[in-house]
Amino acid sequence: MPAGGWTWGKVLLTGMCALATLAAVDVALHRVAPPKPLLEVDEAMAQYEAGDPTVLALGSSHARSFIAMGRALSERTGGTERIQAVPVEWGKYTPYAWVLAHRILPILEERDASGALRRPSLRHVLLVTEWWDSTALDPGTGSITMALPARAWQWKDFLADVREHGLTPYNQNFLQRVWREAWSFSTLVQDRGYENITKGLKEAIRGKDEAAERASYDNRMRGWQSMVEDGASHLFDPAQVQSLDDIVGTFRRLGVDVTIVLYPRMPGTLTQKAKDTTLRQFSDRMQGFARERGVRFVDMTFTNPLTDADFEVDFDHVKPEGNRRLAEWALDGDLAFLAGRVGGCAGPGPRAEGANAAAATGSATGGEP
Amino acid sequence: MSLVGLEFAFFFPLVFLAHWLGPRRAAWQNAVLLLASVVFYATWNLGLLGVLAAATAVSFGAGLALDVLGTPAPEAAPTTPGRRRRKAVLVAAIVAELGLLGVFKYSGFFAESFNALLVGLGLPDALPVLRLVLPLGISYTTLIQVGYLLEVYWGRAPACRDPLAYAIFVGFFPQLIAGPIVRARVMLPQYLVPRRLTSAGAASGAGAFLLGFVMKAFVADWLSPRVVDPVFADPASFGAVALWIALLGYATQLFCDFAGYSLMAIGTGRLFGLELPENFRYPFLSKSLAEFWRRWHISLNTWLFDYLFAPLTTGRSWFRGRAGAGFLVVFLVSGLWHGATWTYVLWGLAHGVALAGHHAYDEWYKRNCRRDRRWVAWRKATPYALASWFVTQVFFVLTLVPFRAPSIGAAADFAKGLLGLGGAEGLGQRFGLQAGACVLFFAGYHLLEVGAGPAWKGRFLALPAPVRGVVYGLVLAFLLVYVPVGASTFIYAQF
Repeated sequence: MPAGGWTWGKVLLTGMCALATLAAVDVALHRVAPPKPLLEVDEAMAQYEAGDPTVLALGSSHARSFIAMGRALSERTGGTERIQAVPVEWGKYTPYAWVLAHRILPILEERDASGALRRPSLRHVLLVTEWWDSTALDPGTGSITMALPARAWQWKDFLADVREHGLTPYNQNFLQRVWREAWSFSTLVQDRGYENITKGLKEAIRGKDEAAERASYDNRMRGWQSMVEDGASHLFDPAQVQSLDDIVGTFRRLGVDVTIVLYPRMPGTLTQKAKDTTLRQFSDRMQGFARERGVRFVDMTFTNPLTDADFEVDFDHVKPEGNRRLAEWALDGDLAFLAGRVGGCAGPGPRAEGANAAAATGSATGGEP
Repeated sequence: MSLVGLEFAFFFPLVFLAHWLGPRRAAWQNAVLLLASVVFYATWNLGLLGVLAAATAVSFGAGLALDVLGTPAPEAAPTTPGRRRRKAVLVAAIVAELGLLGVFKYSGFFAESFNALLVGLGLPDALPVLRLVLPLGISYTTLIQVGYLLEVYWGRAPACRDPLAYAIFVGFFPQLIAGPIVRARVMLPQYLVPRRLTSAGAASGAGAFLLGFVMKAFVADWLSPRVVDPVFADPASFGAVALWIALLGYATQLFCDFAGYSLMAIGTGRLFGLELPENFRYPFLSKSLAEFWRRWHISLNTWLFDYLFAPLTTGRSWFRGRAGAGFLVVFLVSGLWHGATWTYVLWGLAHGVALAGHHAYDEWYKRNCRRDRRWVAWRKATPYALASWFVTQVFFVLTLVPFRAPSIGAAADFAKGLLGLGGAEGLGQRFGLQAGACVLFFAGYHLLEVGAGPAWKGRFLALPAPVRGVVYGLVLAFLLVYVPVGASTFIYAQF
């Protein structure tokens, strides 16, 4: 008998029972905090490869709102117009530019044996953005680890970065993403950092603490308000502006119609001061940029059908029902051209034929070239 | 890379499989571990890998040279050419190893201190202050190599002739960041033979790793940002009770961080069929400072006592027979080893003086015991044991003030605050279920070693395997929920 009474059989049995217990706990906690699968760049690119969309919605996590819009657009057009959302979690213009160069372009420009484009259908690009995307760092934290091209990396990109810089909090984000994807079915893994399990268990045991929830809500609301107000002094970091220019330039070179879409913000988080400073400055300059580059500009920051109740508890993302309403509203209005009803730019011909560079036939809310 | 980071979950299985699925030959196993160690090191700083490689080559070559020169007969005169040559090789190699450590770790400190002295005398700065990046684990690998050279020189261990085995002896990745400081006599024989993974080794390795992970990732990383760091960063904003809680929290954090790391390293070693030395043995049960240092960072303290204290107090120098002075030197060196700052020097000085004082008291007490047996009975009585335990622990905890503080001035401010007024205001929001779990774990970990504790442990280990599996599964689920995201690096990695 080995030391401590451990035989391989006992080791195996103990390990199996530990894993079974872990799995049972995980399943039991699904009711408390079910994992929410989120579209990430990898999966989005796989969908792109298979779907050959007509519209690309590139942006941060907000681009996920365009999944619902894609469904609505498909319904309206009988499937002839298809939106592919490419959300770069925590992204800004520099990460978007990286994703465009390293993930999207190789697919866009892939050709078959005859030299024809494999996916020639893309006609519109929606660059989904907000003021935060133009700042260098996350205002208030100064942390560069939050701007995450690592969310879009592949193993070769990760290894190249480790070779150059060693293992850093920045590139470790890639491993976090891979780990989370590998355990996408697990509540215990997916809830790390969100604490929905502990909150849910507390509620289950003690009941809802309305006063504490209200206090937390108010506290977070004040935090958001001051963050947006403070954003004015961080806007338009030169590196981010350069990346924005590169992104628009690249799509224009490809002959694709570009629309800059300012994403809706939760009304309660916006003070008058924020509207007059951060948001006004951002909107004005982006509108000017769109005019200069001859691309469409749609500002949904305040002009949208959403109320505070349509936003998630993070005050940032829109709930599924809100996304559906936003999609219908936008497709009836500023983004109606996606269904070919209003405006139009590239014409019906495929991208390969080189239509459209002259694009920019103006926008519903401004941005005449 | 760190043993507690997510990257280790990707790295370890690859190394484990390569190690055990390849041929069962020492050369293969050592090659896999060396390659893994190189990758592990390179993830910190690829450029400084050359420093470790050069240092390892020097000590390996010096060991061979000492072997070639042979061990002279004990009766040979110290001035014989063979002895002189061996001594010259030893001194040159140790100077090279310590010189490297000195340049990277201490040159800035000594230059700054010298310049400050000159400025105090009204003279201009004279020395340039170098700001060098400290190679990972250099404090540990240097002591490992110097210990090896001394062992070979004294004829206590044979020189290693296998460069692969020697390289992995110095740079085995689990011990690279923060020890344990391994000995040639213990580890080299293990690297020279093929290892076999046993069921007991796998179980105890996984168990040690899990226990270490709980200590580090749950206890230490929970305490640090909530209880310790905010108070040490701004002690003036907190009352005396909060300062005491933070200080006790730091003692717990430091122990769980370092002992946790050591256990994870030992556990990882066992999973590769290697037995690294124990580094902690329930230090908070100690009833004297001497006992404390036999239980805390055992591999460093035995190194200092074997290779510094013993030669110093038994050699031909002024220190011969002067244990008190020996303690002072050993702990000043220990303080400086921890870091090139005056706070560590103060910490080392405090422990050196206290150990010298305790040694003198012990001698005095023993004399009384020899005169009157009642002194023996008093020492064995519970009140004496409790008082000894209390004084020892309070002294250790208090010396953590300079150990943790960024400067002597900050340490003085913190110490003054401990004697002041005020409660635990400002800390109130930071306590909850996790705080209770941390205290319970820390207390339970030590209490399971006293009284009926070992029997309880035995009862748990005698439970059927499925029951133990369920318990381990629940522990893992608890960790997944409560371990803070983004576990930090290890405190002792900086030394």
